[in-house]
Amino acid sequence: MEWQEVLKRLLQNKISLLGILIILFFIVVAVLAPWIAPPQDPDEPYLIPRGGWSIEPQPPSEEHIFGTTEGQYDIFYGIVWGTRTAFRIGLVVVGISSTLGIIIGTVAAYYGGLIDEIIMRITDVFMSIPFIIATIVLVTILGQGITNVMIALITFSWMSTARLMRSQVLSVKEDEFVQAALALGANDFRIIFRHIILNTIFPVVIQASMRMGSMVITASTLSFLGVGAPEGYADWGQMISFARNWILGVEGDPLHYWYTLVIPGIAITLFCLSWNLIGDAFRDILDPKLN
Amino acid sequence: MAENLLEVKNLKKYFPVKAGIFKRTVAHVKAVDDISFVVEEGETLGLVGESGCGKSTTGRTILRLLEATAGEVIFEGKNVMDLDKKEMRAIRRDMQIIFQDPYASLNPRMTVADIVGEPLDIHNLAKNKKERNEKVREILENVGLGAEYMNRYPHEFSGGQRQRIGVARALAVDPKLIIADEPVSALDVSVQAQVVNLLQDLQKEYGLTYLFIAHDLSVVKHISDRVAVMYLGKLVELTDKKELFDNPMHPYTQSLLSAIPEADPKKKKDRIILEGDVPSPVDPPSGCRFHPRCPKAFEPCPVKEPEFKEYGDGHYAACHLLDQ
Amino acid sequence: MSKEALVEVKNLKTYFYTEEGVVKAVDGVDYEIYPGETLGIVGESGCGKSVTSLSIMRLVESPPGRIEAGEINFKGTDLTKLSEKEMRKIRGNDISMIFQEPMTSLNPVYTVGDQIIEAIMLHKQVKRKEARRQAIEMLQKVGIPLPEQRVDEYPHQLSGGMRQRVMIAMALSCDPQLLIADEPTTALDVTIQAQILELMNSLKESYGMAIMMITHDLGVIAEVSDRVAVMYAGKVVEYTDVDTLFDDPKHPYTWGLMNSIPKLDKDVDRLEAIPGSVPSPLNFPEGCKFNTRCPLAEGKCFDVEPPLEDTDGGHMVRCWRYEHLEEIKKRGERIYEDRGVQK
Repeated sequence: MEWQEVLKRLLQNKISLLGILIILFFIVVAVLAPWIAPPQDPDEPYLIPRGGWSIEPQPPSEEHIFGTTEGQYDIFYGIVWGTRTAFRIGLVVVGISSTLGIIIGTVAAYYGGLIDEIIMRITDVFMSIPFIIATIVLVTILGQGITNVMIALITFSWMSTARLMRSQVLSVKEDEFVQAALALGANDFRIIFRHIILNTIFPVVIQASMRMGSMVITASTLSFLGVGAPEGYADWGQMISFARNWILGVEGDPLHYWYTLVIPGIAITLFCLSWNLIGDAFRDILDPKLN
Repeated sequence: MAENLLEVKNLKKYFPVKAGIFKRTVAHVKAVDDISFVVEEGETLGLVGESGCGKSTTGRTILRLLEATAGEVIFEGKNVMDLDKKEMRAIRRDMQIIFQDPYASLNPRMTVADIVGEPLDIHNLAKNKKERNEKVREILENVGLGAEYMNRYPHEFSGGQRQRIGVARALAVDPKLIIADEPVSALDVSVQAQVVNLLQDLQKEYGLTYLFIAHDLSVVKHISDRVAVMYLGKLVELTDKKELFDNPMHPYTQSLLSAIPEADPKKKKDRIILEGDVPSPVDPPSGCRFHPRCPKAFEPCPVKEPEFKEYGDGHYAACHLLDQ
Repeated sequence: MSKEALVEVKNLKTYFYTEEGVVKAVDGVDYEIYPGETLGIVGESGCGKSVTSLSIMRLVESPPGRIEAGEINFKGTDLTKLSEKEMRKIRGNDISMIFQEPMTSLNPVYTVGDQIIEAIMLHKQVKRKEARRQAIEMLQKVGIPLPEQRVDEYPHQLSGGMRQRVMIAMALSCDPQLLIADEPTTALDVTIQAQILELMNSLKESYGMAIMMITHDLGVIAEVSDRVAVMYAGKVVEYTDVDTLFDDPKHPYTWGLMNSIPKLDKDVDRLEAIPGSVPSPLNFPEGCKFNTRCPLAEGKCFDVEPPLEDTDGGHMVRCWRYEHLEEIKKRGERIYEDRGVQK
């Protein structure tokens, strides 16, 4: 199936259309962030402006339409600029780790033998380390900051793509059209790029789309645990971590500070959901059994 | 007599069987076990046998799509097994292959023009895009496909048309030898004849030499000049096709011929029904590999392997009975 | 044959409702199967030959498939009207089926014995011990050596030919009156095919059951059938006894099929190849469905579908121009000439 056909079907499918619409909404928010929520200091747009120094979060008001978190960080501003952070983390981490995974998996499967054995054992070692703990340790070593979070996420998330790619390439490599290209005298480069990758890439695309959401969640988790973005940085995970002390509300009114948790929570949930919807739709469209 | 275009000498291809955590080789599948034959320029040599007899492996080993375990493949005087990567790439222009499965053998994400044009790109046979398209169009027309199909993808074609595309791709480099690996067995009966006729027409037009691999004896008989019969990695008989069908010497060939159901209800043949199944090539029977199923086996068969030798005018066979 | 038919299929239509449109896989098919005979159904991929058999077994997957119209009378009962529960009693008991790929039709995690025993216990009121005894007896009858040992083996331990024998043993374990064999030898080598065909012929005689043999191979048809229905694009195009069919094929498609396969005993320089390929079932032509490939087609053939007509003494043909074909045959000419070039 061709890309145009896939796109057409994605747009015809109600579920994926919903996902695409949500993502489009986030894209618009991210692009228009300087106009939706003008930064106080244009050189430091990711610093959330503070409405004061009081500890207690303030409910939505005219000045802060989504209210403020503890320390008076503006929730609306954080959500808007946090969208950019989410995209940046998602695209960079998934983009680089998928590329790494594709290269590693393809090389292992195509050349096979000892090369395959060594690469896959290294992959096993990486996979055997619990993901969250590994990233926390690495970020702690590298130091706090969004860039270091992304480096840590990339370091420990390429393995699933590599494995997927390897199994895909292993099966396509035996296909007769690859044999035919070999028989024609094609070199490795041509065979890998024109014949193998083109026919193995779709499952990786599906997986990447699913990983977009989960990477943003993991980055948020790191922020929540205090090893992610520096304090005051526009990041959804951090906004939730600001809510940590206020989740229980006040006596007799557990929902007193609902806005500190619910608003960033909705943002993260919608963001992940939309990528998953697209991923699901992709899988349905590309599943040969359903065609 | 015509020149030998291809000589296969003592070709062997063993696949290791690995087991355990350390992937130690515990046995070998002797897919092709010491076979020798020649293909003369301009002829069609049929290679028949049942599944697992090693006929397809033979074809692929000759082209070095699989590396041989031992033996020589001499193509126009050069031992193909000795060539380095660059020389090998060059010689591939002269030796091509047509595959069995017209679905798996075409890259589903390439257009017909790209599939047939790829060999031209690889060997720099077209100066520019225009010339390439011109050549592709010409080749497609030669195999009976119109130029209007050029920008379509393989899934838009029927099995027979796909097989024509596969033939066109092989023809694009203007080869001397084409190894046709079961080229019609995946096709519908009514379409098989189209492809068989096409292969014959092309042979006449371009002076091609074919190694035609198939399990269907009647198709092989129709298209071949000489026929080689394989059983469990060995050649058991090789001769002129008329001689083979009129006077089969090897008991395996005889039973194979009698097993074919013929499209004629009045002809109730005297069948030689073979007992049992083809044994595993991992652990082939001792002596003559056919002896456990052979209706005529006698004392020497299980102990001594019969020699593949000539019994009069180009009729080769490997059977102890013939030495009696 | 004036005997009462065992199965009588009347105007059967089985359609599949897909995203791209309605696939009329079987579109008005009639045939009968008499007790003790073998009816061969021959045709190429997509002609509907397998779907007719699945319709008899009521195994057409629904959705997307549906038996749209017609009757399937089995000993006087219309199978299309039975409930699923009633149908289950008939399947495997009165009518059994064997498939092309014996590996996928056997469950890999049970021994072959377990599977035959299950089939026997499902339909006969016997104890497990007795069922096992019968299973071993069946394996013996289908020519499996050392049945007492083989009964406890798993499908992967058997070769393709042996697995097909096991399938046959399972199918016959309840003495069916009809055995449907859907390409039973296509996946097998010729020498093994010969064994299986011989086995089926001898079992047919000893059990007195009827066989519906579905295949694309005219050789197999000639070998085992008493009567033959040739199918093309969801319809029966020729229907007669096997000798008449091979002596005097009247439909241009049948003629083409016979002359497109090389014969062992006759040399021809060039095969008569039917041009083109089978039309897509989503896009069948108007009129005679063979008109896109038929060299004799003209006028009426493109507008009106010919009926399945009795030409003489029960030789049924669906063609407007079969008499024209007769003349060509008399002159000894070929009807299919091709240049290896497609239209």
